[in-house]
Amino acid sequence: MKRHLPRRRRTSVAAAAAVAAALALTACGGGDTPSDDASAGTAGSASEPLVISLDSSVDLLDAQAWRTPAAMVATGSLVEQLLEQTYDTDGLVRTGTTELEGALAESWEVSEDGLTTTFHLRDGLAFADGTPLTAQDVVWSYQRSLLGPGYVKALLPFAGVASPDDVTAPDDSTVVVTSSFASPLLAKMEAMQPLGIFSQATGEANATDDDPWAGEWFRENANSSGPYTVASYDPTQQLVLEPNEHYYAPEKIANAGVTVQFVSDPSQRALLLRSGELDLAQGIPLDQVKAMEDEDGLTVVSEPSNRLEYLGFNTAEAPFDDARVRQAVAKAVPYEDLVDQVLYGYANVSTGVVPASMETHSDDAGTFEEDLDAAADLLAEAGLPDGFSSTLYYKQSNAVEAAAAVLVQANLKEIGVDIDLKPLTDADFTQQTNARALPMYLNNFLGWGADPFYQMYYLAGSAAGTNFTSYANPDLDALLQEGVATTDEAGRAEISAEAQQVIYDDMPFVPVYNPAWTFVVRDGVTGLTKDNTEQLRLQYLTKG
Amino acid sequence: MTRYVLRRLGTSALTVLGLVLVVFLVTRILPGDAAAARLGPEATPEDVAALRASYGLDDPLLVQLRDYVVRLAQGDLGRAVSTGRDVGTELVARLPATIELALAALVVAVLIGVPVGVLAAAHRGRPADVAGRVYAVLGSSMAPFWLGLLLIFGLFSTWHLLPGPIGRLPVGTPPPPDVTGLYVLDALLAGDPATAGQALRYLVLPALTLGIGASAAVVKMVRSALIATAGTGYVRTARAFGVAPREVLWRDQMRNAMLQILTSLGLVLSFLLGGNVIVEQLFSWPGMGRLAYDAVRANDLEVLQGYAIVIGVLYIALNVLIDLAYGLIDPRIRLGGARA
Repeated sequence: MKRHLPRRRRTSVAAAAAVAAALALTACGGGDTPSDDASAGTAGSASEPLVISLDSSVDLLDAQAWRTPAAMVATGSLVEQLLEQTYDTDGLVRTGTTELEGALAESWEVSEDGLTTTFHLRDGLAFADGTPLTAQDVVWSYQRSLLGPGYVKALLPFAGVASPDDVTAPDDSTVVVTSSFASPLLAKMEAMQPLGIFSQATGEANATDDDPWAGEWFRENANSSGPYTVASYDPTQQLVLEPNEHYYAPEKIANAGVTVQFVSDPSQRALLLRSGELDLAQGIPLDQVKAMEDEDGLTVVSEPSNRLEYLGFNTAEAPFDDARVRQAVAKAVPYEDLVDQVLYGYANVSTGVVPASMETHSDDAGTFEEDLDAAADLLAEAGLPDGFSSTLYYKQSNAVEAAAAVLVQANLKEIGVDIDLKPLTDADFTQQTNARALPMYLNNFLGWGADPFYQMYYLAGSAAGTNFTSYANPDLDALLQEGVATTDEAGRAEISAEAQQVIYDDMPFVPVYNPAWTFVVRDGVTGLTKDNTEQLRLQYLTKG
Repeated sequence: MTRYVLRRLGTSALTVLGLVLVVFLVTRILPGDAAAARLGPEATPEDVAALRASYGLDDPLLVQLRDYVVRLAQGDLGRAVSTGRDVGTELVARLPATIELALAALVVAVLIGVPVGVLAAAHRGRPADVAGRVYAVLGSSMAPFWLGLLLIFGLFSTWHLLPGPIGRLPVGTPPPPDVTGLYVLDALLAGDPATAGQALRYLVLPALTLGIGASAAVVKMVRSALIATAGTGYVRTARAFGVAPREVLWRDQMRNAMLQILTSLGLVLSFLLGGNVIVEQLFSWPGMGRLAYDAVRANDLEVLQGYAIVIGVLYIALNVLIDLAYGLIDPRIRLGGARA
């Protein structure tokens, strides 16, 4: 995967660093908690506020109930978790590692059997309104994630914490989390923003009989435990975030605020970035991103991603109930052409259900290469030498999928398979995939926490709501369950490799490519931070 | 007059009822289920069923219609399935942005349309007329989306004369104190000409985009209204008495054509109110049209219904107002008077 850092950038980064250093010297005398993270750069002396535009608008402010990708990023900055991942810095980008450190929790211990985690909260924690943040708030927030209005309900149970009674607070600064099996995934989840901490007092003050978890109130408001508070929010226009003065680690807020501007048209977003009205933009059409690489004043930041674009089948119905037919389609996908022509290079050809950038990825399962002869042979073997016809569905709103579908259609025609293309509205697509009603469809998936078992379970597990293929393999389910509950690295790698092989052989969907994590910024913008769920962490952004 | 007003309001109420029925039925025909979309893929079928039930989506159609009409009568437009927000509140909050844009577009349409139409009519059959008609054809056949892109490209991106498509005010500028919701007006009322100027600058591009398309209709209508008066007896008489053609045009023809022009402007305004979904989307303009656009994508029937009904009611109300204005403008019409 390439990252594009043309030479002129170095000077601007250097200049930004110099400005930042000067600011740090002049503006900030009180850096009494120096950051241990050099790339936060302007620690304690926040850079100017930034104006950014993401690929969607922020539909609501509840970190457990958001719907749009931009809302996940924005709401994540209104809550802080017990734990936080550490980051590796490479150029402009800081990437989350699998090492965790305490956030609201100062320290934590895991029992020998791995089933009980005890967290000790820091002293003096507070919400944005100044009220103290205690262990009771953590219990309430975790219970809210299990029972509340959000759709993160499946998150904790996947790591063995299924009952609200599994989270307790023996005293104000201690939280005990009990799980039914030991899993390294639990700690990763505890560092994820949807499991950030809400104020119980605020929640209860705004709860009603119909709405015991105050979903209404938290939809439009926040009492933040995270780096920012909400200065103003208009769901059609913008969300203005200001630093939270009660945040536990003010030195981790590198800017003086972030405005998330909702620009609905991607091309207009590109124009506004070019004109300097935006400092950072996401979701710009990729042909324009390509052109921006050569434009003065702009920097394209593109990192490999675990997001997986896949071609799904309905394995319950002919002809896709035959693994050979699915294999044949997999051999007819023009992988390289898709990456070059549709994604302008901002993607990697798929390396499997567990991408190469995710732990325990196995190279042995099999490769993804276009081979039309082999595809035709497989079809003949499956008793369909003359091919068949079917329909390929995709989301109308996704221009990349629309273009990809055309290339897939052309290639399948070569082996006698006639494909109609049919775009659906987002809501219709969601409904039809949920109903397992589509024979073939393009879709994408991003597993939370970059965990291989989470990834495989939610794509191919028989009970997973996001497995739209109707594929159900009890052996694979057992294998994945075993993997989730295995803590030693060698064991995890072995089980993971075996599961990857099963999924490759059965091919319930074709992993097609991994679209890159791509942003375009104005020169001087630094601190782009990609956590394990590939969310942009706003607090580390700086603007020189 | 009172009787006429009452009768007019009565027929409008019937029209509104018909509108509600059509909107209700049309939105039920659309495919897709917003409940499933809202709850996400991990939702259990029970969750989806519960949400559907809470919105009454499983009731028989007639029951749904009855409940809907009853709620509407109480001023309740329902709750957005996709976000849980109150539809009425959402629409009302966005109404001023839409009205401000529509009014500005109407000003553009009149400023361009009336002079061009008058010129064309005054020089009927000559080059000025041909040019006016060509403009009318081009203006009405150019998609607002395309025109908007051209204007953004020229006036913002290339020449930097006007701000970009980022909403109603520059990022970081607080909106003026809320009186009417029209930013330009509110800022002037608050004695803040700087903000008023900014709001006006941000208004120009979207208003041009909408207004140029509408001006084509104004040209055609002004031209034909004036030409229709050209053959009347009073014009011939005035001409015979040696009154200058220009004076006849403005004093006699224009005044008599005013009624028709005014009616048509009312229609243009209602078109502008409802026809700006794409323009609002293009300019990130936080009006009702943008809400409707998002609702289509999310399959949110509650919001779509609310949007269609608010726009429809505005349309009907405008028409009533125009009818009533007739009597004020044209003394020949005495509303509700003795029938012939």
